[in-house]
Amino acid sequence: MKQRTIALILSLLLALGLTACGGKEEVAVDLTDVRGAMLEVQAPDEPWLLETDALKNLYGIEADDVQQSASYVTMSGTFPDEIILVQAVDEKAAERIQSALKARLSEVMVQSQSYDPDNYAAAQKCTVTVNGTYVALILSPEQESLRAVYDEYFAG
Amino acid sequence: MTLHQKRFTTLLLCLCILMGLVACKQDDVPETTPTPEVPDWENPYTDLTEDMWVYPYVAKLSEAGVFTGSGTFGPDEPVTSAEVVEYLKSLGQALSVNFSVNSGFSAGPLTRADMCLILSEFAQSSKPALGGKLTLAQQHEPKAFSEALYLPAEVQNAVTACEAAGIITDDDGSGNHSLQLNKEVTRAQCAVMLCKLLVIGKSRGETPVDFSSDAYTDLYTALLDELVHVPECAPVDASYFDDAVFVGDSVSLRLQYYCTANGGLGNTTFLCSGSLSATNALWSVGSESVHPSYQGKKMLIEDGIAACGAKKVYIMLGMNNISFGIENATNDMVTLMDRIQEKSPDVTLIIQAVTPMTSSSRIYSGSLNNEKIDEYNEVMRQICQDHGWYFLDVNTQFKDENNQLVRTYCSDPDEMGIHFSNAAAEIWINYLKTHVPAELLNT
Repeated sequence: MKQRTIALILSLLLALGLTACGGKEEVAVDLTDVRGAMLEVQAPDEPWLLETDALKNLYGIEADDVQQSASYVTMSGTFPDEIILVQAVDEKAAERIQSALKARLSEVMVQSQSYDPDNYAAAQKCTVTVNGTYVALILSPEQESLRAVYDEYFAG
Repeated sequence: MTLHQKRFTTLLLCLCILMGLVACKQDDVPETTPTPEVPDWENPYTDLTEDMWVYPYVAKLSEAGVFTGSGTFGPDEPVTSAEVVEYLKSLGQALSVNFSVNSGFSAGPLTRADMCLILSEFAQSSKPALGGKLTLAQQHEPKAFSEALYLPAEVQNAVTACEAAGIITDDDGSGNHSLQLNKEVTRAQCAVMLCKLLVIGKSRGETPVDFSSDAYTDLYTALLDELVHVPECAPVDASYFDDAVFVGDSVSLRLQYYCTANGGLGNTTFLCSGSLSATNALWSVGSESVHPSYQGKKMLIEDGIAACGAKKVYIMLGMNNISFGIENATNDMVTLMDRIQEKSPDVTLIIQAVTPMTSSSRIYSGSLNNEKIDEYNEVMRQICQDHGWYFLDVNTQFKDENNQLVRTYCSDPDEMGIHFSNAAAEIWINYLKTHVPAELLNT
């Protein structure tokens, strides 16, 4: 009897835990706001804003996979700083976008290895992150401070 | 409705149907010219029907006694030089001229270039017989054709003369301008050309076409020079670059992002990557290769160009391999160009001169400096002239009085000394828009 009670309590706790996990809703973030905040921190001289229609040719990201995006590129170094912020339409699409951005990161590492140590070092430290349906490539020598801005939007 | 009204309506309908039929026929005619009227003629050919576009031409030539056969006409069969000479004998009689054709063509099928030469010899050698000397009125100003640029001078002149006389055209109505000089002439196409010769030969225009063998040599000399000194033109719209692709290294990478963000070159495609050269572009694609990606997939340059379907290819490569020797670098460029043309035979290749470096560049050395870049550019210019590729002097826009990259045009913060600022990108775009090869201006 005692064992049954304990098992019941444990099952209830497990069920409650699962419900709590399943019920955690994704934070809704406006990526254009995030980009604006990042640009304020980085303050590049000549940022070039990229919207969703540019992502296909540059990274192979299909517009149909994108819920929203806000990206920019700066050319302060030999290689561009590439800040690509995308919300996918669903988790499968997020996987495809993550894969495309990882491929881009690998390319930059290979291309910069021979003569741009700063960018190569940045590329080595960089990772493509996924928060639910949000995918981000933050490739810049200033990526730590830019990443902090990005993460702040998802902390709440 | 009265009987009179009914008759009128029926007549109107018939006219509309007739006009529609005529319009359909003309759409299919490969040489844009008014279709001749069909004479009273008993068609002796079993494979020729009135709904075929070539029918009126064959009818007209049969009426003139040029075609005298029966049974099958074979409109899609290649025509031989011997057959053409026989046709011309009859055509000469119809035009009241004597002539001689001594080109010594082989007995096999004729190309359109051969046909031009034969018709040109016919026109040039014609002597008064019953009537006056044959003169062909000029339909428009003679011009040189890049397709004929590397053909013998007498063929160049024949092609230009035949085109100016309206015997051949580079407009097949599909929007693709090409004389198709290497294509075999079918009997149907031969009929169109001979028919035009007959019609034009009977008319007497004010400006006769000059069929002499050196009449247009100067036009071809000028065209050859234009290949490597593309003259300034009125700026084209950015949409001109919609069917272009730009291939380049990290210098062009700047142009790529600048234009992607602001549409400066329309919807052009870029195949650019850092460290790219004509040497490593020839290597196999792999995880460690620096080939650029097209829509997220890394591929060979020639495959990327074929995949995006570009018609104009702008290439700037050299900064990453000039230091390994100019001969090697230029040879690899030729190999790359050949590969591109093999995969995409219809593209126009436009090589952009490698841009200069700042004198303080940290990669400036005995094997890579502005003198070496200039030397490389001059070798490439000559190669372009030999191969029929365009060469664009974009580098001249960025040099200071000491032959260095203007410092304010350089955006490198670390003395790399080769990459461009936004201001320089704007100058680059403007140069591209105002230096379009003449033959591409109307495409």
